Amino acid sequence: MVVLSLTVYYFVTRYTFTDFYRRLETRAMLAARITLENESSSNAYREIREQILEKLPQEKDYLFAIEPGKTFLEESRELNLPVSFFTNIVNGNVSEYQKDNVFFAGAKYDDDTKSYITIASAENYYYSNHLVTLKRILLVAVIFVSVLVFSASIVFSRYVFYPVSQITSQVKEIGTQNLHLRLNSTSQNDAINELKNTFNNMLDRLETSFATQNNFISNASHELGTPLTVIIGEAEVALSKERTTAEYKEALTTVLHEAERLERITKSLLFLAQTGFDGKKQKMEILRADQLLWDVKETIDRLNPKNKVFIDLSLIPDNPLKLKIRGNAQLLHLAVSNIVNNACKYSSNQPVQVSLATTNNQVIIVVKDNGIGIPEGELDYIYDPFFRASNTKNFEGYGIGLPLARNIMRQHLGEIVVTSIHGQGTTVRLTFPLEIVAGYFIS
Amino acid sequence: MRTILIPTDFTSVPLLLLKHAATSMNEELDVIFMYSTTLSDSITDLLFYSPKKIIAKVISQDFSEGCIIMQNRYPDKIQSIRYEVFTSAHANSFAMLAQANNVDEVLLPMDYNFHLKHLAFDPTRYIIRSGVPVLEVDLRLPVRISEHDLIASLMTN
Repeated sequence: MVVLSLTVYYFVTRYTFTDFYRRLETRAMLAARITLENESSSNAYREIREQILEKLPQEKDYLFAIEPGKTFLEESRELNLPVSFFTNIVNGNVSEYQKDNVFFAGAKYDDDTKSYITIASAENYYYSNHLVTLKRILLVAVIFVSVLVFSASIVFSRYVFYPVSQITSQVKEIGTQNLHLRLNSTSQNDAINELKNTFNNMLDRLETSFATQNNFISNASHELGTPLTVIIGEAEVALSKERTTAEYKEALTTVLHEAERLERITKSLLFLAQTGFDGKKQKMEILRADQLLWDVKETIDRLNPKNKVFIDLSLIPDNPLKLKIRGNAQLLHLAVSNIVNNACKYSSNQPVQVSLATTNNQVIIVVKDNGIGIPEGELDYIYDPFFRASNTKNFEGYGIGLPLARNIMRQHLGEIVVTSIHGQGTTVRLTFPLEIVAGYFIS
Repeated sequence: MRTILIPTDFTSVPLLLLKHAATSMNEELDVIFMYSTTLSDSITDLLFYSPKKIIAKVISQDFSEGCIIMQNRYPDKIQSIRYEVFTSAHANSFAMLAQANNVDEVLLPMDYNFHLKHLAFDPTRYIIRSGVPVLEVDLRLPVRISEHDLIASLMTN
């Protein structure tokens, strides 16, 4: 705005000046003609001047003859004009000069015999009056428009940011005590609503993780407490009176059994905690996925000789390079054997099918059993430590295997997807990124 | 070189048919997955008709990955996989489509109900009436095939 006003003012001023100088010049030439031409034409000129040209305020004409050697010092002193003004005219140029409000314009006039300097001066009415008005108008306009723009922008920004400030105030209200609160999202499909939904999703996740945390503590204390209770009870009963050696032996066996269970739980907990750390560096090496499966099969055979694990290699690629994955052999072995072991356990040693396939950037392992499955509503909780589905009462276990497997898969940038139909079986899909190995490795 | 056409509903079944073909046929295969759908009534949709777009709308990531798995498994057998859209419910037009694509054989699953979504239809009877050689394959599918995880069901059947 300010720049615009200044530009307008500058150009109007310039235009007024040049325009006024042109007018003065015309008058100067006319004045010279009136004085110097013969009578008839001088009369005609005078008529033109008086009838057609507007009389300017404070209009005056001067006429000086140019004689060789004349310096115009006196004239310049008399009119209060610089000497350069006159010399400029003598050299054939048009001279212009401004003194406060009075403007001078001069030109050279050539008669038949002599040359003259003719000068006209007048007060610039446009400069003194019009430009001041223009200045005032522009100033008022600038102030007015600034105020208008400023207030409009404040109103507009309030209007635009209203939903955001609403979100801010609503989010501020949500603390650890009332995590169940959600932002009111509308059905409108705009960025603000998307933001609200994102916040709500985040709150969902937060709430779930809080709930998981609480669950974990209660489950853990329960799982650790049960063997301890058995040990204490057994010991108390055994100590209550004299027993035979056989009875002591039996009691100690129970105690040992429970203590071993306790040890297994704490060990697996420790493992879970270790694999949960992302920053911890594991030794990574390049493995063949089919080799991994055979190793797992061997382990399962040792642990559970009655298993019917069937490794299906009908879809593995011809090219062994497409079976390479990068990972820690022990951890991957642990994860896969956990899943295969679960499959055997919860299907009471019915056939378990383990298949392997690769796409151009992934290695996929699918473990499928025909076991008891997972109830639909409980699929969301299977990765919570110590969670056990409601239909697993008859199976031994403490709900650490799957969370552990998922932690390991995460470390290997892999993915684990569990689909299950209650009563019909469970399918676990493990996806690993395929490791690109240089071509010379073909065996 | 043999060109086989498999009517597809983008579940694991067409891929299992492909697997069957790759294991049982001793020839290089050009595979065409044919998707049968009626066209939309909207004039704009017909104006901008593009088979590519129709396929892209219904194909799933898992199905494409399944194709890649099959190509990785049988790199020498499966020479190419492409898609065709079949839009008119007539035996003659199917015969023309088969002729235009040099189809040697059509693979059909035995006792299978297509999973029909959107405007798709089951082309089986037009294929049988068209006179193009048909090979019916008994996949011995389990009664209920899980469609939650296409790749898992491809890999375990």
